[in-house]
Amino acid sequence: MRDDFAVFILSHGRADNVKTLKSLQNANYKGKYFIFVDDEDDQYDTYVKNFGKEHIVLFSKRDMVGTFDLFDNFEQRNTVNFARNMCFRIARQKGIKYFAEFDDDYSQFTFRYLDDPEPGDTVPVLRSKVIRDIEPVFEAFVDFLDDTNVRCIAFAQAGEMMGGAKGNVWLTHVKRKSMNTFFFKVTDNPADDVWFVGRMNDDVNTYVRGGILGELWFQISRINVIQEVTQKNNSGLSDMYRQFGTFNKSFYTVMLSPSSVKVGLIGPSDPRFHHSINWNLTVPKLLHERYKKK
Amino acid sequence: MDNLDFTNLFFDDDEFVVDRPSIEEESITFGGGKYTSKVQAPHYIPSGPCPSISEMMDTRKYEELIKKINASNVSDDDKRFLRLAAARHIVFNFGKIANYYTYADKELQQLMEDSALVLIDFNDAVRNGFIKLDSRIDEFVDAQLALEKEEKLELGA
Repeated sequence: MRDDFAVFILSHGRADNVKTLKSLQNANYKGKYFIFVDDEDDQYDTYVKNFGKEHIVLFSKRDMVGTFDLFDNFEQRNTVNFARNMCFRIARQKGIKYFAEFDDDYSQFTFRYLDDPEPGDTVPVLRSKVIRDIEPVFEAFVDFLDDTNVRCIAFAQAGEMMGGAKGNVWLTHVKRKSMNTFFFKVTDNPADDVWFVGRMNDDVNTYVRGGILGELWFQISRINVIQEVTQKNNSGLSDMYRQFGTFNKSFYTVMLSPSSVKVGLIGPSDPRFHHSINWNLTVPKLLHERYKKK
Repeated sequence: MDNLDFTNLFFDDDEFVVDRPSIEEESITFGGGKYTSKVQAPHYIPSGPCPSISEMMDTRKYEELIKKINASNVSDDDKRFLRLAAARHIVFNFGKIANYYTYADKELQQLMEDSALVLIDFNDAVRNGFIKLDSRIDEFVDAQLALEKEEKLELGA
């Protein structure tokens, strides 16, 4: 793996269970990695013991207060955006030019491919396999960031792939959003650094805001990440979910873009509140240059 | 809580996959067949007649707010602030705006680009980036599947 790339894993209170690192190692990742731990985490010593000090980035959440917009005036600091907003700073300190920003609960990285239709059917079967050698994927993503002016690219979430080869996510392949597995390029200008905004739903807020302002944030469906089920984890954001449910969470993005984001219920059983973004009303279209008059 | 009616808050089945564009609406270009693995840049393909200005945006909520602000007794500074903030409720239809762009003259096009009302994929950078990325993923998938096949054969032997 190239030397100017690193994986940043944002963790809290899971020193003995950083699933993402295990998954990366299972996928034969041998490049640089750093686990971001905040100074309010009482498991810091265990992180150091388990992974070695050279792999731990310790930062202060308190110092981050006031440096970015949380959209509210609550006192809590138990959300991930404090760590997210350290990533570009740490990358610059360490001379990292490209990084992948992951949460700590990814159980598998998988790829999708089309297989022959089942007998009597005409539609190919969309299959999934666990990635055994992930570095070529990372290298390809880094080159993509170099070749384009795209702000961020990410894997799709496995849970989005409903419908298989006929599913909307597979058919569209590319979506104007990035979640969970953010791949970024660090430019020479610190003003280009990404700031995640809003205490909750910070990832959605950030790609929506970026999209509104003309940034390109993408995810592709051929590579997937599988993570623990939201709201059932034992640390970090789940405390906020338990306290407020997903109703408050979803409304942070409505506050950001009241003209194009709404909140509704999803889930066939045990429904929960979720944001819904009308992309046609949110982000400008990407056009071929032939439409521009010379 | 039990007496509340949430019926109208449920999204359609399609909305289980939230944050996704409608395929028809986006006019996304596909390579190969319908079920292809090929990833291509999501270029929007403008079509149809030139939309009117009013078709490109919905200002009803904005106008409602402006009326209230104008009729209020708050200070002029507060009114100015509230009027600007009310613009957050203007709904812009970026599909229509992209269509409008194609009919605009050079000066208007430039102003629309400056305001990020459309994005131009200069030199096909994004499109070509996706083609290259896709090809790299093809190679990766082939290698992974070949590895699995090889291991299966070894197990069989």
